[in-house]
Amino acid sequence: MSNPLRELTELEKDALQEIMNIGFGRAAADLAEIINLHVILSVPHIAVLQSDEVISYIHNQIPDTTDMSMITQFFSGKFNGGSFLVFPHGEGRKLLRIFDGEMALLGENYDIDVLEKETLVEVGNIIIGACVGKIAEMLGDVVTYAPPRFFSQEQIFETLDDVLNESDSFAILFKTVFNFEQYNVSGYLFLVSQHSIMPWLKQAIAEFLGPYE
Amino acid sequence: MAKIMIIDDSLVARMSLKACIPKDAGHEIKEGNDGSVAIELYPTFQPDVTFMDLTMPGVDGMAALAEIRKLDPTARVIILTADIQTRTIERVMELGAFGLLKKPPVKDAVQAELNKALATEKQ
Repeated sequence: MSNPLRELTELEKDALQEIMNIGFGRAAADLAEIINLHVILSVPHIAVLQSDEVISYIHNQIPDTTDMSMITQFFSGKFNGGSFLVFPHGEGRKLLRIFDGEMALLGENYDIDVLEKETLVEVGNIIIGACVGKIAEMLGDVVTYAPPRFFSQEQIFETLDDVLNESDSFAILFKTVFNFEQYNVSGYLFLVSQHSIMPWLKQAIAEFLGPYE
Repeated sequence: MAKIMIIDDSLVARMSLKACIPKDAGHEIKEGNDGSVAIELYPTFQPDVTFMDLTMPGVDGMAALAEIRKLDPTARVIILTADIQTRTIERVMELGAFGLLKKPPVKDAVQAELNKALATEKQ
């Protein structure tokens, strides 16, 4: 049976989605400045998942987990938890192609795997910072971040398992779409937190919505 | 009193925008959640001002803006968006947007842009 204190209403989800889209607008502007490409970032889908549903959700959405990669960044404040930006098969390499021009300047003295990792960490850091930061800001909180970390395919599920196995955790899933002009790159952003923050989250969303109702 | 159309896929975004429009002015407001609704509603409602989001599923704000300007080259469409990239702003202005406001909406900015649009003769 559903427990209203462990779930978000449609209006609360809509509010979070709108906040995320605003955060993404800022992230897009930041990314466009860095890579000199017009960027579209959008959040077409949001869902709240219980911790035991996250892994199966990823498997359903991303049947081929070959070459999947993930950027993780933990944050703390009233809103605290971990953010996991998962790039399905080959999406990381697609992002790397955006930097082809710059890479050519490096000649042969670079390691493609290191560059891919660095690119994903940088892009992930901007996207996660914009999303988490905007949610926190608009809900009247301030968060601090741990440095972003890169995880390759073989480390992803173990890392997620560790975090999701913490008691009382749940995930807010934002399916995200990044469109870098001619490059279509998509990814999944999970924010994992504890149910103990739900009363604060609901109250903060109510305060955010207050002036508009 | 003016006729105002609000198009945004987010109910919260529509609520927040409506809260910025003075209620005592007696404006008639119609709203929709998709660019196709805007295109369908425009000829019958004939709004004085349209507020439109850009990133929407289905027909997005750019396409709806272009279509509305084809239906009515004098249409006054104010884009309300989180996408604040220079190229986006240039594109919507090229398509004939009256103005562009950043999300989240701020009451003073919305009212100023609305008043400006209503005070401007349709051209």
